[in-house]
Amino acid sequence: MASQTTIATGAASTTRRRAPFDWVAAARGVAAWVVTLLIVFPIIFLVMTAFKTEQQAIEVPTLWFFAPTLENFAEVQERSNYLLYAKNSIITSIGSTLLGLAIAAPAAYSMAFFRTKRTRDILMWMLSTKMMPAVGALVPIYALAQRSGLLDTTLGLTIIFTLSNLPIMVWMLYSHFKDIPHEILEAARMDGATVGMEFRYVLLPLGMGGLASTGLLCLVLSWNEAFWSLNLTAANAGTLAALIAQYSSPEGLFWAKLSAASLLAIAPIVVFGWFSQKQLVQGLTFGAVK
Amino acid sequence: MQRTAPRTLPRLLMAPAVTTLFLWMIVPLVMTIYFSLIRYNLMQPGANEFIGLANFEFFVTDPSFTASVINTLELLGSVIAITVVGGVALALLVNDPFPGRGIVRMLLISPFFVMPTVNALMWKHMMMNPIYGVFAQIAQFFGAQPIDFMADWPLSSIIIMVAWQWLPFACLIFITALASMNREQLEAARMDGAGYLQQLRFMYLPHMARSIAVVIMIELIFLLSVFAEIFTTTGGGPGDASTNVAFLIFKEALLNFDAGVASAGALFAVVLANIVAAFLIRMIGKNLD
Amino acid sequence: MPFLQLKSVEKFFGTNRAIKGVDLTIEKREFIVFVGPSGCGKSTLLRLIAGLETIDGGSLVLDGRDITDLPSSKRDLAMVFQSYALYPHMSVADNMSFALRLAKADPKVIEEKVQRAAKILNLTQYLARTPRELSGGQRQRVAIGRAIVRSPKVFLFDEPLSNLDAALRGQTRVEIAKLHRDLGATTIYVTHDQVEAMTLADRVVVLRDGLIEQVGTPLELYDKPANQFVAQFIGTPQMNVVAAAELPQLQTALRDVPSGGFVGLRPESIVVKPAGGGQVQGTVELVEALGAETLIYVNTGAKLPLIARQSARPSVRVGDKVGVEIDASSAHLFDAQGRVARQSAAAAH
Repeated sequence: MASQTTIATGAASTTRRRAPFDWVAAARGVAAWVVTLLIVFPIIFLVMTAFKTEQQAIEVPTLWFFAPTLENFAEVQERSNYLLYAKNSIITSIGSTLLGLAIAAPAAYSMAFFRTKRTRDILMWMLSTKMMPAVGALVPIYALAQRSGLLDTTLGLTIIFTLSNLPIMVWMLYSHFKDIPHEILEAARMDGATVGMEFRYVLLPLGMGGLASTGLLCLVLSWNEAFWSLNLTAANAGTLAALIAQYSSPEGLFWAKLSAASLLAIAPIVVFGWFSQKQLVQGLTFGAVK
Repeated sequence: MQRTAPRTLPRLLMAPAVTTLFLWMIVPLVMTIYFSLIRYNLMQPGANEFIGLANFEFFVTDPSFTASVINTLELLGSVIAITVVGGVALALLVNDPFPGRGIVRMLLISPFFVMPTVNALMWKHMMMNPIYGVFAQIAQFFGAQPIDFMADWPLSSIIIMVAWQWLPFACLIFITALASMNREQLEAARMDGAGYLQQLRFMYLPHMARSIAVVIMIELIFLLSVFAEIFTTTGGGPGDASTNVAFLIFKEALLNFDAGVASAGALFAVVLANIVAAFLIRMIGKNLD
Repeated sequence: MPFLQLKSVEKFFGTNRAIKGVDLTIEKREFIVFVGPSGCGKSTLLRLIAGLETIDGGSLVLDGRDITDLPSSKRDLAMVFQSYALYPHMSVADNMSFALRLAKADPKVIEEKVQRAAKILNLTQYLARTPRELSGGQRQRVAIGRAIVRSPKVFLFDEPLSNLDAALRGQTRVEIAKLHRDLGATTIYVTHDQVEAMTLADRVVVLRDGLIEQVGTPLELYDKPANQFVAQFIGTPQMNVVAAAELPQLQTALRDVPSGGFVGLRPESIVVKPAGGGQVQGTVELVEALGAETLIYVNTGAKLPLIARQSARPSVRVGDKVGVEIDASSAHLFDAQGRVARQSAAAAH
């Protein structure tokens, strides 16, 4: 049986076939961009209006080209005590995030590393508390807040936010801790680490990422929270959500300022949101979608 | 685990979370049940006698009750339909690479992060205002009469606002689900001669079935409590045209100050939510190891 | 005095008795390999020795000290994990020095030990990198380096080569053997690959279902398997085991086959002859020409073909009729339960 061997010469062919232009892909790309711009249009419009003068803002048809001005941002504080509301938003968001992490992290750690038969049930139960409509607790919480003097206080709001977000935080931290390969912790144990050393030198550094992203998510959720902010606050503890809601009836010549105020209110969170989108999917679907 | 690890440590670590959540769940629930059975007006404390199921009766026979239930269902149904169909379509659109896909994805999810009150006002004043709004301008451009959204189509306006906000959420979830599709399966289907529509029907949609179910359930739970948009724009009106169950309860509680009736309504909403939650919990439970 | 001693060690997982009473003594500087099919308990046994699982019965004594209830951190043992388990947030140098730093050793001493281990393992230029920036083979060496630096009483290896590709596996095997020769450290090595077992071990422990089937040097296990399971586990290709009833021609050649028993024949003790020769006739089913040796699969009418091994190039083709000659003295005889009825007399020394 004669065998044939071929030797590759490695010489390049002199002509190369050009791939035909992919019309479908191009059309899809264009369609995607068009749809996206349409969807994002209201936000773009908001941003534009924030930089217009009031006169320009109410011009019909809409002014597309104009000289941007910062005057609205300056006046926002004068007209509406913006800083107070911003301060409240910041305090309640950061406060609830820190408090939430402090409560959720130990629980998540315990569930991830000292797992028992009941761990799963407890986790499910925690998630179920998040599923109850807030309005179901409106009356009692309002009554309690009234009685304990926590109505219209940042402390009261912070506590409520913490409790609202706690299930999601526990769940997310639990997932993160579970993802740390337990063999690394075993290696630390073989290397002579006590439980405390294990925690300090291995667990904490590796869990930092999870803590950060969970915290970010809580920050976003608290900042945007509207139900309790609208119902439990008045003049003192209102957050930005409540501030914006006050302008529900138009007062005529002030749309540019409203846009400026809104833009200031949403900008940081939209940016944070971009960074935490993956955590958001996990957190809000309770991990049901990987 | 080592035999030497104490049993008490894990319990101690879990205690704060478990106790606070337990209180957060039980206390309002118990109080709501109690309030729903007594006469309790926030403006007239002290006259709290037991009146049995009278509050429930009052709530259910409120003329706005039926309307609010219908509105709630309409809201839920429409928003879910829009977000699921739109979300799947969008996710499929941005699934394959094209120039600027990263930016497009980032932009697509931004509506979800906009504060609900800002969302509401943005639509009410900028888009839907019958004189200055963008929709009005478009209508005028074509010579048509601009629509007064808030007055003539209040519920639809709310639906538009909420759907706009939740479409990115659904889209993001579907993008994630699509990303986990098995490439090799698709290639096998292509080699077997499946065209795009067939791939869609037999491969993409079944794979996404689970995430679609999740999105529907999550939205059912969270959309039940749509509140901020209604509060900020229509105030539930005109009349009760855009009142949903959540807003109705709010009206009773903080506008009519009748905590008893509001509590009865709240229990109704809680039961509704529980039913959906039970299904969702079962689905998640299967996903946990 | 034995260096490491296991006495009636037991382990339960719930009601499942995973380790059913294991006795074993290991001398200093020995290279012991635990080998067996999946689920036999070899990794569990290793983890019991390491202290990563608790011992439910029996005792473990190391260098005269009872360590049965001691936590892993105090046993002075080092383990190389199957997945390497390197600390992802630390550099290679920090990974290797972690244990010594925890023990608050003198930084100069630490530095010296790390450098020495790095030199032995060719890691010196990677000391500043993190595990993420290393290849699989390099990570594995870091895992070994982490163990070496500690100069522990015993090295424990849990299937360290299973995540490497074939070429790297062979290479690393040689390096591990060399390392053991140079360092002279007592080592327990777990693998499911019997080639690793045969080439690395001073003694091999064959496990099945939580029990030790046999302990011995590799060649002892090869030539004198204690039962049918060990006989078929050790040796590639697998020893030919035929029910005595299926090849009545063998009865005449092998007089003391117990009824219902089995005959075990190593492939090299079977010679393929032209048709008519040998005790059994058959047809060639498959020929595997491996270059250095040839394997011939002969269908004799029994359930499984007989595999013959020869160093010559193939002289037959698929479909040829051949005869099979068996050296009766090199056959292993097993009874119906798989116990040895008669050892092969032709065991090489």
